[in-house]
Amino acid sequence: MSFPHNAWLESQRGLIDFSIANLGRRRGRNLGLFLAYTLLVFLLASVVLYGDALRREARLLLADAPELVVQRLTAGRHDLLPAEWLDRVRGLRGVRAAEGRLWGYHYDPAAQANYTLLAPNDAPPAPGQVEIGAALARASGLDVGDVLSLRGFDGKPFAFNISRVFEAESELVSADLMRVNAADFRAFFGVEPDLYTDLALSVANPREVRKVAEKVLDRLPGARVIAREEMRRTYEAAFNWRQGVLLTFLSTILLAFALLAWDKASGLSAEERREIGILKALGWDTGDVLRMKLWEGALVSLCAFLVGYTLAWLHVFYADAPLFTAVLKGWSVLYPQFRLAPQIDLAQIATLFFLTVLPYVAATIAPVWRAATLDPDEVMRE
Amino acid sequence: MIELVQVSKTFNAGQPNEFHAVREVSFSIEPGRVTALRGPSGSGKTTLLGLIGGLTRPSSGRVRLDGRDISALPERFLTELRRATFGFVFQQFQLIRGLSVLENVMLPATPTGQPYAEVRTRALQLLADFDLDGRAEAKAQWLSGGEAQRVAIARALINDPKVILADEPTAHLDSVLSRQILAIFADLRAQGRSVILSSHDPLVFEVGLVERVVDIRDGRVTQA
Repeated sequence: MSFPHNAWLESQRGLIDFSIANLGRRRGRNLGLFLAYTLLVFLLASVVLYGDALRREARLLLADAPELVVQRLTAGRHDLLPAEWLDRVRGLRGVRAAEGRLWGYHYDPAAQANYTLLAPNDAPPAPGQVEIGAALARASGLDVGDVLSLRGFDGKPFAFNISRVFEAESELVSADLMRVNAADFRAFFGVEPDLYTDLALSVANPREVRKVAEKVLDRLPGARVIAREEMRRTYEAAFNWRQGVLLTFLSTILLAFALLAWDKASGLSAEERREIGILKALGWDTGDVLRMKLWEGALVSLCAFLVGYTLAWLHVFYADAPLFTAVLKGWSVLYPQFRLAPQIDLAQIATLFFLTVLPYVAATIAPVWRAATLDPDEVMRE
Repeated sequence: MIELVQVSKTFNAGQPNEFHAVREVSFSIEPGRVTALRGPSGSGKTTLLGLIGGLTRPSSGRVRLDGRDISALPERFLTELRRATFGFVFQQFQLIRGLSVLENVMLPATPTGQPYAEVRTRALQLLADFDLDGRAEAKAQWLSGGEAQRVAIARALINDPKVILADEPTAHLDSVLSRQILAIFADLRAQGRSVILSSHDPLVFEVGLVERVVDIRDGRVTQA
């Protein structure tokens, strides 16, 4: 018999055809397996995609943060700092600009939520006006033109006119944010005119950040200096920790799936063994049987992987990941509701692939190999 | 020419359920003829067919095909031999349930790398030869005994083997169907193929098809 040069491709095609026909023969079992597999990939991929996207979002937001933040510590606690600190750091070499910032938290018993109040130095709202985050707007049912009424530090009511609702893109940190005028901020919280919450310093040369921080500490004993890099790490740690919690939870599902795969793998039915015997008797060798089963496992797991990953991608980037919001986004009562920027990371896909597809294929091949190495005669006699 | 020299086959050797299926059997089979292994159930006919066709290796002794010792061939070569030289028709038909008739017939050619269209055409031709044209897409489990046996023969012929090995080909068929199947074997013989079959069905030996009989009992040849 003489075969054309693409005999290998033809034989693979034949094996794939047979694998597909074979999968169709045990439709119920394979469908169940496919669904369990898809669910596993979906959950794992959702957590990984979501955590990574949040970290990326945090990094983007921190890109605009000041290189250094200076706080005052009193008895180890964050305290308001005097405005004269501003003059003392402005004169330091390497400091390009320094400004005092005003921000704080307010608990609103009516909404049972914490708000973050901020008095921006750039483009502050007019006196008596407030710009609010989208989550806050949703929770309170308020919109531009409405009045937001809150009780100040002394219990007196304060009425703010809502002049703007923030765009959704920045909702990770702006969900519960209220931007107000500095004078209104001081009046609302009872902060004296010569006090600030903290200082924001920009440094001319990024490589001098550490040096400048040391100089600030020299000049202002009792201050705490936080670098942007440290904030980034804190965000990362927080998201890593939360992702870890979820992955730990998911590991039980992973284990259940491993048991399912092992059960299927180690339990080749008498029927399957007999069929392997028939194939061998008909001229298939051990390698052909293994390749056919490899294709079978690869088809199930690849399809499940693609479907699971695609669903996870849609879940995270287009459905706001309702399954994980509470754990991954934060502790706030007002959950941010925003679209993460869709992203495809090949290294991440490869990691997920190796974690889910390879173990399955390997687990299914072992018992087939045992059956396929026996004499066909022996298998068929059993 | 197929030669068996002092061939023995023992299953579960050294264990309490040790069983000697074939004991020191020697005979030879000329090509292009119809040879029958005759004997009662459990006499070792099926095991002998398996040894001749390279489905299993002898525990001792030699099996030679055209002078070449095949009993010690590595699996890859033995598979190649099974694929190219022998076509098997099993006693229980051994069609794969859930697959169509056409898929079953094409199975032995699947790993050979022959072009799909070519194999398919050949399979359909074989089905047509055996009056199974309309059954190509039927599932194997829907077939009657006679149809299943003809599909099994078509499958055995897909790689165009020189030797057909048939284990009790009439065991599950009535007389009419048995005669049809035996007529097919006569055609294969006329095409120049060797047919080796095992049977204890008197009909097989009455129709004048069998040219040589090897009698077997308790794993030994009583008359060759």
